[in-house]
Amino acid sequence: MKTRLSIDRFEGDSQEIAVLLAEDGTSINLPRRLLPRDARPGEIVSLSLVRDLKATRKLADQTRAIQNELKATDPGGDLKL
Amino acid sequence: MRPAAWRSLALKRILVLLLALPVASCSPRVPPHAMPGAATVTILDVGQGDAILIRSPEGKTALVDAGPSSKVVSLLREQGVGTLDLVVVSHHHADHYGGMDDVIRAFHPRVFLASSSSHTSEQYLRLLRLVRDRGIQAIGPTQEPRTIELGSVVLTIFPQAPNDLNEENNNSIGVRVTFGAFSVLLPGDAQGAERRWWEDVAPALCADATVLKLAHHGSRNGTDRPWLNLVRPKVAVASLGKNNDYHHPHPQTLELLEQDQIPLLRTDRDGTVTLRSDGIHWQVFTHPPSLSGWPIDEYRTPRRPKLSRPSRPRFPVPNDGRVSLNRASRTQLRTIPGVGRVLADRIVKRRPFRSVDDLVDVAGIGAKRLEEIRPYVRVD
Repeated sequence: MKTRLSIDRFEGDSQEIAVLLAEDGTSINLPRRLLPRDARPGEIVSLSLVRDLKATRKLADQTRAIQNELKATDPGGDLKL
Repeated sequence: MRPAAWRSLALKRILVLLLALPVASCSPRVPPHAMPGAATVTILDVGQGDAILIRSPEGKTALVDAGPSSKVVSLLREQGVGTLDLVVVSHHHADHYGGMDDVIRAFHPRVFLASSSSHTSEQYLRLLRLVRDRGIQAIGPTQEPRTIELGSVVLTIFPQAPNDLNEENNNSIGVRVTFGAFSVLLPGDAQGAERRWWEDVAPALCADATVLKLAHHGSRNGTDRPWLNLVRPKVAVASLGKNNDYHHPHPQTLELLEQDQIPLLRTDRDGTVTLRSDGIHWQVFTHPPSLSGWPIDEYRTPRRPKLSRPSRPRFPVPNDGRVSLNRASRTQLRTIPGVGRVLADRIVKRRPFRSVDDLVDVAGIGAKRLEEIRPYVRVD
């Protein structure tokens, strides 16, 4: 699904925050670096977010693997530091 | 309420306020943790997130959560931290572990404690890899309470609640920090489901804590009536960012605290909050000083709380953190390190003091003890 957003303005010390307005007036702040390089206030951009299930599974597997690795070193019981 | 019961309640509340005083403010002459024999728990002002530093009298240190960013590193350095013995990630949300990788690089913790919840992110995966690659001892919560002795401060890790796949807040690691009769409850961001489980499985770990760090930054799903009835804290602390997007703390939470007349310290308003205890007494320090605007005099002479005026502020307002040798009550004098009932009586009898140095006239206070006491007293 694509969402149309108006670039309202840039904020921040280095104008690094893009303030975007949805059609219902909701304000969304995004790092300006995520916008196309030439995008300017007053222009419309479209935002599209999609679920990446493959990447999600990969991340979950990698996390589980390293959690298991770390868990194997846990001596268990109470600790005295 | 019957008059006798009301009087008892009022006396209890006054005692709480007296013990909480003096509430120090900016720049005590020595940092709070420097008091010999004292443990401190510092809720760092990291903005919207949590980072809580625990120090034992023996100099052992633990950090529960690392806030949303690397800002926590400079805050820890300001607190004089050189190394950490233990770091804890209460749960896998970035406002609690966002600065942890930088903390690990800067302070080389010996032990890393996190749950094995499946909630993750690219950033969290990087953190786990860092822990592994640095050879840090990793541990986790277990089905039984697990204790970690940080010198004479004991951290009891709550038994881990069943994994909640839909709400990571309910996978929070709960920690009870105990030092003598003083205790601080750190429930992470636990919401109702996890708190109900703790209340059922480990009620003694939750009950009667001196201080409660509010779960989930004072959100309404972080505090409710059954929880407060069990924990019964003397003081609550909320860690949250100024003008945060989530409108924390929630008015409902504030109302619950108000009903029980529990003073609330807030990092968005009061800055970094340090609780210090000798195992019996405890004090609150804020830095920078509170900007509450409440009149200090209201707390110098605690009065009978008026239940009919719920809007009346009961937050103990910071003064300069030092006890007045000429004006403090015996109870307040006993909050000075090394001053018990006998010395407090002698100090009162010796009044007036023209300078702090006059303390050597008090039997039992020699030059050495004077220097230990000096940072905590004033003459006015």
